[in-house]
Amino acid sequence: MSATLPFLTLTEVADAITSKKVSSFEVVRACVERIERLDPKLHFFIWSEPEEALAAARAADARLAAGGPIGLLHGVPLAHKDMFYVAGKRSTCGSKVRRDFRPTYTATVMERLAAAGAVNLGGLAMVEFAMGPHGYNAHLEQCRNPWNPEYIPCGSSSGSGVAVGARAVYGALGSDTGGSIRCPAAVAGVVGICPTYSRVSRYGVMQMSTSLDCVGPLARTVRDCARMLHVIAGPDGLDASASDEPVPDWEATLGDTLRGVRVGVPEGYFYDGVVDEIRTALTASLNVLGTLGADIVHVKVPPSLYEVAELQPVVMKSEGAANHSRWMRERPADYSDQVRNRLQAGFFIPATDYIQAIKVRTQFLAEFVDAVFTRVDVLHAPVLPMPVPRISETMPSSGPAYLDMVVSLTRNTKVVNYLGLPAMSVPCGFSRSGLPIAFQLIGRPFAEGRLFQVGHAYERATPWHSMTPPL
Amino acid sequence: MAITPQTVTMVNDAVQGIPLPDVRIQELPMELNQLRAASVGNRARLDFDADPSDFRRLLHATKG
Repeated sequence: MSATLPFLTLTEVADAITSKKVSSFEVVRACVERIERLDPKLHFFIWSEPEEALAAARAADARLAAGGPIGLLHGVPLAHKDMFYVAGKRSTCGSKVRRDFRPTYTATVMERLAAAGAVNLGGLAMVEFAMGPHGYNAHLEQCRNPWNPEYIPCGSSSGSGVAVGARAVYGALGSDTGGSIRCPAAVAGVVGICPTYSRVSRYGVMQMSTSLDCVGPLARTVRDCARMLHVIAGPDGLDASASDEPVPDWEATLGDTLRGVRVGVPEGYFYDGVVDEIRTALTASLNVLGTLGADIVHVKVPPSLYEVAELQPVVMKSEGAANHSRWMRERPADYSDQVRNRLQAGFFIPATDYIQAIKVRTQFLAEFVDAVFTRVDVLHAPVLPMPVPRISETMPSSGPAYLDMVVSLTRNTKVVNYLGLPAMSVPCGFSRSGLPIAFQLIGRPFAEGRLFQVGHAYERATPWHSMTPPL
Repeated sequence: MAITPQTVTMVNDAVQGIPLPDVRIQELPMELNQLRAASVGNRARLDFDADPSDFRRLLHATKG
């Protein structure tokens, strides 16, 4: 039994624990053994506390045996990008600057996961301060793609994608400012959702760019993500930026029919530079959705999306530079060259340009919603426009080819962050090189339920989510 | 009008004071000119009465 435990989904293992078919201790021990075997090859943990996790699992089993109240994630082992604070625990943010940082307070999302019964196995690898799309971090061993260690894990939630994809944990939190949940999920062959801006509290979460940052889960299936997001979403008295929007029971509507649901195929922007094998996989996924009853509708996206793609970095870099302005002056040598370079431009953006980029955001959102969501219910688009690159193709450099590659990785995801819309990455096949391909579903604000409904229906009709890396 | 290495040096010396090696002083103008072009291109969109908090209002007003 223990050999097969890591291959269950999050919701399957949660149900198995709750119905006492398996103990949390057995599940956590199976994950610990898998982590001990795989982490030396894939480097997805920054730190872990297996003994504490096993003790928490024993306590969870005792609580269940005693008939105490249990939550939706009772006894389920998770691990998270190393930027979600827990009082007294390390939270390195993937950096040298915060190598020994131990916060004195706990993130609301971590409180909520603990209240739901989740067991925390530790802090996962991430790009230094969440600044970079391909998963490279000069302070850490190279985090590697579970499908082929010669390929990138993407970032910045690199360890979250790898840990879930490698079946080492059942789910993980990530953060998404320009694609940092969806891209690592896409290349690891798992599901990742960047919820609507403000849907999830960011209290106790490392800031990268406060106008863009979103917190969300990466997990093996759409249902897994729906459950994790249900646990962490909702108003928070400790975060004034968190929305008061009610949190639905998304799992209850997962099985709704797709008949009459309009799935949009974007004309313009999202398919620029998309290579044939990605386009073919996406077309096949649209055909599946069509056979499930969805109406496939071609829709022109506003040309202003090109402006959005240029303005998102104005916001991200301005806010990033402001966040790091003290350490960049006092401890510049503690940053890697790559992240120090990425931060520098923000110091030279005039405040007027930054504020303008924030003020015009409403217009761009209105244009996009009017052009797209009056015609379709969800937009279906590529996550990455190209197959997953090799690590050797992404080694740090400042040459034009390298910069083009970095920009390409997030061109289809960063625009969604600027618009504040929810988007979910769903696996839909493999490239000739054997690496996963994914589409993203983009929805109206607070319409995560529609993304889950469409993604779940697709998952039930296809095998991709159940395929596991050859580890 | 374009940002040059001299511009970067002057602004950094006078305003920001972050450590910047020569190679970065030479490289930064390309990125800064792209960012600047994005901002200049959007000046005509700017509505005097727009408030950044309108964005949050619109998210709720257009929810699905």
